[in-house]
Amino acid sequence: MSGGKEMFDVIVIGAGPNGLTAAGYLAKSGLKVAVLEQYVETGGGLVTQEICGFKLNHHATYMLLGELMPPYHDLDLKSWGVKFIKPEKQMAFLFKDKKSLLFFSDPKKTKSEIEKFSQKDAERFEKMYNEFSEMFYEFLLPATYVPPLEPVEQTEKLQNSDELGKKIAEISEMTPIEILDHYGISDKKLRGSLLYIICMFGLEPDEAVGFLVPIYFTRVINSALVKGGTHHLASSLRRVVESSGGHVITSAKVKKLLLKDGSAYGVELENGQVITARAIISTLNPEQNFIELMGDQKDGIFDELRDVAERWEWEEFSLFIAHRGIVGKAPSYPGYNEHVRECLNVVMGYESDDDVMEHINACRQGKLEVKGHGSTLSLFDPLLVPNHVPGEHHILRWECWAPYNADWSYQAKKEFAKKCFDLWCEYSPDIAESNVIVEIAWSPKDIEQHTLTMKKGSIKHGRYSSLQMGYNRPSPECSSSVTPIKNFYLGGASMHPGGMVILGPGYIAAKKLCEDLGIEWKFGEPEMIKRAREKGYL
Amino acid sequence: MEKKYDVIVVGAGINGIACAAYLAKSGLKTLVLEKRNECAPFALTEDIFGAGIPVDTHAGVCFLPMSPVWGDLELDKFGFDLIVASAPAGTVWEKENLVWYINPQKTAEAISKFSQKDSKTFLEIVSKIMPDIPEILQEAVFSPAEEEKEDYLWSLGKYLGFPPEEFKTMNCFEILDLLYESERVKTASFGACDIAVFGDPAEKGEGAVMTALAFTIVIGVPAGGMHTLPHSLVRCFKYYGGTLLLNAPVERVERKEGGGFRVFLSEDAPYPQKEFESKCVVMHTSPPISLKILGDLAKQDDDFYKKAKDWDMTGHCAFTSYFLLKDLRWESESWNPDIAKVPFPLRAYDSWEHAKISVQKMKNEEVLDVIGDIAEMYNLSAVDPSRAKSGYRVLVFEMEYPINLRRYGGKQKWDDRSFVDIIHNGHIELLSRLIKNFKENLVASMYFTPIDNWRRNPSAIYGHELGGDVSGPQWYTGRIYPRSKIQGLYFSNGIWPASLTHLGSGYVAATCVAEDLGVKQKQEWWRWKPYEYFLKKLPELKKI
Repeated sequence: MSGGKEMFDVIVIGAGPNGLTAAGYLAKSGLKVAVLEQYVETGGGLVTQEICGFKLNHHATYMLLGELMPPYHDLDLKSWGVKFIKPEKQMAFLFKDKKSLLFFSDPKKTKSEIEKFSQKDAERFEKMYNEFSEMFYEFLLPATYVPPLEPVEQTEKLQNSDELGKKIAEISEMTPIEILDHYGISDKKLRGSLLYIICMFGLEPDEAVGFLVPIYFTRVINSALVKGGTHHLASSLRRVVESSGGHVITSAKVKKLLLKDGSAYGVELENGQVITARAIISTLNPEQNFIELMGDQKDGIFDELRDVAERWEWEEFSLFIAHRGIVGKAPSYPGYNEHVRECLNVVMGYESDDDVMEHINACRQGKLEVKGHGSTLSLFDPLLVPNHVPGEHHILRWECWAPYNADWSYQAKKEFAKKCFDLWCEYSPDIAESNVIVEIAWSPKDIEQHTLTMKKGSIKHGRYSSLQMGYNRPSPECSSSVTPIKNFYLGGASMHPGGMVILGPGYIAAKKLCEDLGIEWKFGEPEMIKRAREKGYL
Repeated sequence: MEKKYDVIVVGAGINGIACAAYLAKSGLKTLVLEKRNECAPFALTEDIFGAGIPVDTHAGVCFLPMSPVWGDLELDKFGFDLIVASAPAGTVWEKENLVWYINPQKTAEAISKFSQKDSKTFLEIVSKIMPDIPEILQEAVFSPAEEEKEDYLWSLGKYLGFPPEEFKTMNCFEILDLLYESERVKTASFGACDIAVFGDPAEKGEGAVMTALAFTIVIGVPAGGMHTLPHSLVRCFKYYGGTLLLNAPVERVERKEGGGFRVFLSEDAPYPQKEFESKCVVMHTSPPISLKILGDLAKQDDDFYKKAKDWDMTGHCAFTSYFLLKDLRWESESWNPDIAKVPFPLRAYDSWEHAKISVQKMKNEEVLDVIGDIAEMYNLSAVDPSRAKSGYRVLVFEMEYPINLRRYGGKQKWDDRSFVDIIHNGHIELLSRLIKNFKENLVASMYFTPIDNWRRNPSAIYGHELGGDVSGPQWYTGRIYPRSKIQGLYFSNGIWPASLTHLGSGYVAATCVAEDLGVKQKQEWWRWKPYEYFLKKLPELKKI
């Protein structure tokens, strides 16, 4: 188990969602796998802290792809307890004039909501949604689970395919704002709401990452929760690994990669222990991968890799997440549409796209703004609250954009959390009456502290910009998992297709490694990928 | 996922996992089902003040040195590491303190500052009892309670100089009154008797046994946090092929025709498979919860049924205040500076008379009169630098209060934050007398009430953390027997000893299962005596 030298087929560094996914595939393929995790807990950004029986998702909460992820089927996650909860009423935007705009997972229902604001925009929304949905299913989703193509080649493929391919190519280099213009969305409230949805997880409104917009736009309003808390996904993945004979070794911090003649053959832990393997997959960020793990290696490829790490840009802003576990009634929103209270996310403080832009610009300048969304997660999953104790228990979860560079001292954090809940109370006065049992807030500094890969609170291990996505993530040589170092593979969110618990990097890494080791990939190829190839998109 | 197992353990409390790990290591196919999203609700390290500031939110010091489990399960190989404090515990008053050292000579020296005679008495008892600690713990703590063995408990009086007939009629106060002359030594010793919860110190017999066993208690601090203990147990369990399901609340257990059991998950569980089968079931839920899960089946064991039906979970329970401090210095450091390095400081009564009155007031539930009178504190960054990485220090202040609160409106009063704030503020006032510039250094504070403890641990009804009161009719053989009268059904919660971090109840339950299935004899690794592995390991442990 430990002590002395140990030999595995594969070492996976980091027991976050991607590390466990990769390990799950490899263990199921018959390889002897060890996942090394520096902390006692596994899960990385899949963190659910159960405190006084309230299960708080301090970080990842909204699953964008859920059952659409190939690992869900390949690893039989359902039987290991992964259950996604998909609320029908997804988002409500509250405006000062007591109007509200609701988004449903059913676009027809959303369309009729938008009609209350603008008949024309309702039709434009429908067109946009339908096009985005098709782009997502036919190209973007499959592209999430294959190595990225070189940009010119990809664009050519899309342009030479069909109408849909051309449309994707057309919006690819637009910014989110330009895309709203492109579809002619004109109502300010609707523009604000759509921009919030698109940028909720850190897309920048003025950055040319148009190819991501259809994913974020359609998936954020089809969000799912993991029953029992987000961490349950990690513990289920861990069970897959362990039930197939893999080992998850916690409290094992990797100090450096062991190299011989330019190939990796193992790792040395901080406690001096050496573990060797035929291949190593790292799910860390570029700085950790290419500077910290490389020790004092210099010259040639090491120089180039160091350069990749040094040029790496972290996200411009991060998230502030505050929880209250209460005994009392769930929020209601007097004066607003009665269905607002049934929505997964209730967004407060934005009257237009200018407000959204202003909030993001404030973050860029290190300033805090009290705007964001509240979720009463206990309405959708009773497992999240201690219902064995008398009284109605709820979880109030606040989330908003926030800068990393701000005063995040304990007091400052507490005050900001109070301001956020005060805003929520303005819309829902009854929650001010509740008995607050626990109150915990995570600032971008807490995110960094908890998940060291997320430097500067970078929830996706690095900015989503055209220079850091797809084929360029983290660099052209490394975006398909292989690196210039033999036997050293990438498999984390700083690789294509990126973060957000979509399990793409782990999937791609495992598949690539099996190929290189000559192990049969017994999971087949998802139909969606085959179809995308047939249509010439991939 | 597999459906059939040799053993299913219901509830992944720390002793439930320990039991499961023994059974998995013995080659039995073992499944643990846990309602919560993580294991061991009372042995956790949590970032309650934000990421990077670890706080042991319940169990703070670890009794594992007393235990055979550490060695048998080789927990060091699964990430468990213990820091040995040269001064593990100490009692603080405003200006004075009494530090308890690993080296009894040094403790005797500290006692001699109060009384030469008491110092001599202490040393005499320790030198008599030390060589026998493994045997005492094996018989009194790491074996099932049996009526025939009660005489063994009374025989412990010999170490303190009392014949058994006399010893069994005495309580902790009477014994300490006869042993020591200094009030400080008496009150400090009283605190030490109270910590491992072998009964009620004020009760005859129980109080006597506790006083004797207090001399056998050895504690340490898990490096990095208490959660490393359950995590190492889980890793060990999984290493030997065990399966653990979280978010898997068990709704009922039924007898299967032809022997064995069927265990059903509640509809709420996210698993598609809701039913499992096993030869044996170990219930690690508290007796009232076990009763509910077992339903009619429980009636087939009249002893369990009778006990569990009227099981008393209303004794006392912990109310814990947590303080985030910029710095921590005791007022009494000028008396003996070693108190600064003590991870487990105790707060004792100001006088011996006060102690006796206070215990009475507690029984009368006069809570507001006794705030902070006797408490356990955790100052773990004193020995484990990893706890103070943030630059802050955390002090935990835990006191046992009565659950019922009949004088103030009943048990639900524990959810009335304005009432509870009075107690929490009382702790702050007390600490500002014991600690230099306490209020100036205080960055933040929070607390968990008994009902919060119940929220965190569904088995701990109204916050009772020991699987029910451990005194009077529920003492020793009055507790649930680990072997039920139903073949294949066992209990590891509500049994003797109380479920604590020495893992005695998990060990005892595992012993019963493995013996009955005939696998225990074959396990050569299952051989450590309590305390002996710690002695062997001592030279290589990190000492502070």
